[in-house]
Amino acid sequence: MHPFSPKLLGPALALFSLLLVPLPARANPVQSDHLQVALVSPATSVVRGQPVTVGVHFELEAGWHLYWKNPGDSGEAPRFKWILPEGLTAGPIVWPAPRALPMGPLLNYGYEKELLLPVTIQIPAELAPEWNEGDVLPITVAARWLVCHETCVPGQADLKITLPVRTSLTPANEIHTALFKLAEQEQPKRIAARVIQETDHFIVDLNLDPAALVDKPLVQFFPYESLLISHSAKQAIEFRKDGISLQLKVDNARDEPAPKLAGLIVIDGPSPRRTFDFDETIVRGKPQAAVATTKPAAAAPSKTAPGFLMVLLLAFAGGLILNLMPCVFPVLSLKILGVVRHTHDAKAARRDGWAYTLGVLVSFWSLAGALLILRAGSARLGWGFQLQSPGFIAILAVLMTLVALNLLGVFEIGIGLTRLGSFGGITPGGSAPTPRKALLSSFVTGALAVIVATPCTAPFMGPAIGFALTQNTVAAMAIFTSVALGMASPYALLGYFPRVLAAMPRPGRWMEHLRQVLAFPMFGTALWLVAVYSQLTDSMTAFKVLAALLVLALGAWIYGRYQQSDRKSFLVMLLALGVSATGIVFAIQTPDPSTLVRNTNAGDGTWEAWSSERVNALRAQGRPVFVNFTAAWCISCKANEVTVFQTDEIRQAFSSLNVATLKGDWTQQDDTIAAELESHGRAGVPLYLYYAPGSKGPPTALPSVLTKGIVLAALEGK
Amino acid sequence: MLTTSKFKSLFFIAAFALLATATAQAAPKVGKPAPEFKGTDSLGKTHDLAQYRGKYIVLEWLNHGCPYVQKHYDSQNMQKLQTEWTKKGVVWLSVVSSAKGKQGNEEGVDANAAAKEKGSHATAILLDSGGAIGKAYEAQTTPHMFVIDSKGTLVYSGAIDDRPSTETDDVNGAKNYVSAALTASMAGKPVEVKTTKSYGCGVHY
Repeated sequence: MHPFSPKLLGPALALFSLLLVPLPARANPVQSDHLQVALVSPATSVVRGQPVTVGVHFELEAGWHLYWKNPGDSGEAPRFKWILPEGLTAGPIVWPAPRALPMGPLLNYGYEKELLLPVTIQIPAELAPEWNEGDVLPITVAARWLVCHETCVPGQADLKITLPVRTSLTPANEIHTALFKLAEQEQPKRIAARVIQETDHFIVDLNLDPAALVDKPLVQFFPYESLLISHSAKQAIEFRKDGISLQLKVDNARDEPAPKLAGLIVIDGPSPRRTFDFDETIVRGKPQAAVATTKPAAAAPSKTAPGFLMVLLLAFAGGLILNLMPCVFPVLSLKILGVVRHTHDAKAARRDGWAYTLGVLVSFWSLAGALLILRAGSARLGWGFQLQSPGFIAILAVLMTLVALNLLGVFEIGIGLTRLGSFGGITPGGSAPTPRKALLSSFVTGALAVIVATPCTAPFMGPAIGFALTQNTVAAMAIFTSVALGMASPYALLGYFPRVLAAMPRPGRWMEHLRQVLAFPMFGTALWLVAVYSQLTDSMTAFKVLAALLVLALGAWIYGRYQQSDRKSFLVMLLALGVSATGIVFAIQTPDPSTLVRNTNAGDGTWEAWSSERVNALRAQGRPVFVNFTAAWCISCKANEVTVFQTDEIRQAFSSLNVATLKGDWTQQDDTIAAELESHGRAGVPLYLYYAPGSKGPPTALPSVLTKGIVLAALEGK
Repeated sequence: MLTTSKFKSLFFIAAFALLATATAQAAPKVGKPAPEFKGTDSLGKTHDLAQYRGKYIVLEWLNHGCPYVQKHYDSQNMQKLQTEWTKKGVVWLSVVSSAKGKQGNEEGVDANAAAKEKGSHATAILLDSGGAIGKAYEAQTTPHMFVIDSKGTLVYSGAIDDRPSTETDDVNGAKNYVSAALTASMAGKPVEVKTTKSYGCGVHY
């Protein structure tokens, strides 16, 4: 089918070759859509009976990719058709390890920037006699590929190199030798594995060299075929001393059970990329049996408990510290009122404390549960994800405004049809509410405190929650429970210390003043929420939310008038509810998609937008790099910015040391940033990383609460 | 600081039970009832699974900018299939799941113009820019084909044929899985190839 006849061309080429000294080992590269491709070889000649390695070398335009032999959810691997002189045969493509390339909810396996696909060509000893010493052997390949960015473009090229026939080997082409050596290093080492299917998960147990597992590197499994595992589902990894255990989701689409699982394990760590592969029969069994057979060491809880207990303890401490964070304070103020109410009654204080604890727990469980379920569906979310949604923020702003108006006494909850119990637990007259109302009020306060507290990932919470998200569901929930208990503990236990209770001031008129004063931090919280909202949309949309809140306030005021008037008019109540409802509906309606900020990770004057490619490029230049992962809704991040990064001292230090400063803005959901945070064991912002100049290893992670001293010390390498 | 390697415990068993229940919701599976869908077509008409009970349905994921889709439209292969099977009473729905602003998104007028230009014989073209139908069916590529029988059971999911390429010539002599599934299922016989790996461009959710 190809009009090329090597035999006829042989003599002509032989003649031509006399003119070519030295011979080009690389065909003229072919320029195609979004890439350049060439057939290359480290060899400068061929010898009868000795195989020769050639390779198709792609150099891609930034952002475009080619596919691995298993392309993943979509795409197609490059294909080669070899056109060789008689007797020569081409072997299979030796595929380098791919990378995972996410595209929305889909995941592909492929290559960016550069790709060499080596193939071994067998040269028979009894090469046709017309090929004499000095004759030039043509090696031609018809290559076809699919190159994709968001759109895909198929491409093809006929590539050719010519190698002279010699009786002994000539020196290799050094540039290409290096290229082929690199590809060779990526070749996997075959290892044994145990693969067990438990309903819809595969559990893969591997023994690995402990040296490969230092510092818990990124581990990824790439299946050799599709319809085995769900490509996009999160791969859960557990590290043992001498190996790993991978949990992979079975591809649901498959209609009958797969007999075997084969694929590549890529370990990306501080040390160079290492690759292993396995091809094993899948064992199906009951979960219990599987655990018993594969993890004899894991069956002893006494051995493993200390590590986990430590995590739980840290989580508890983190929860406790949450009480001091600025974003919890406004809600906490509600709790103060509740505590004061019970100075005289320890029993009631205890009951109240437990209701509050229950509120905290339920709220934590719902948030953690939602997060875990969303992550099981492969969404890359971290702690604080709630505040990445404009709708949720608007609802919170409405809630905060209502609480603040209630504290000011604009209207009361609990008088009228809905006896839900007032938020503060007291009414303006100071009369004690009924016990049931008080309990409900404590419960609601607890639940509210958690929702508002989540953006403040206190220093202890970062690692604990990051760890929780890498664990299985039950362990993760245990950690979240521990955080919740830590947060609630001061109030739960207060009732058990009558002396502390007795030291509290007596209830009185001052309580009403306090109640009204506390309305202001609540308004402040609402303002802050709208500020976050404006970061996700645009200022006009955020202004609409403010206007809607004003309408809501008017509605609440009318309702308050109605509550206090002697002659209750049904029409007034209807008006109050109508106005309030209008305000709420306009505040929380989904913003027009066109106003949504597409990408908050844009950088600004001082800070360049973060990307891992940029970090690598800057490090390659030998520059020190400082990375700041932040979000508009992250208060501790903002505090660090004002007290540290915006000071002249730090600015000067950055510029005098020529530090490249990059900012990863996580205000919006962003898979790449979430993945990067995860790779450093974090589930949320802030995260500060410093790459010292000329360093090769992982960066130094700075604490979440920064001082100028900490940053300067890091820059000076202390 | 925290040694994950040491942490493995009794939780292990329970965790998988939990995970299993969390993830075992209605993923499309051949032999099971097809996931519900509801969508608006390029003419503004709504279509859902229930209204076609008693009829066979083919769902075809579509993006005219994708070279794999072009292979089947430029060769007239897709149009021939659409004509053949809609004549036999099959409801053929082409679904466009490219999100707003993403390549392949078709507003109503564009979709009608494109369908006319390509000579599509689909029953309707569903505009799924929100991706709800695509995600319910876990559609991964364009084209990605699904066949639903008259009882609402999914009988085929995967590629259109056995030649995953962009070359028009490959249409000749390829084994068409959609025709095979419809022929067998309509004759009351079991479908031989029920699931394959779909091929093509990724769906631009």
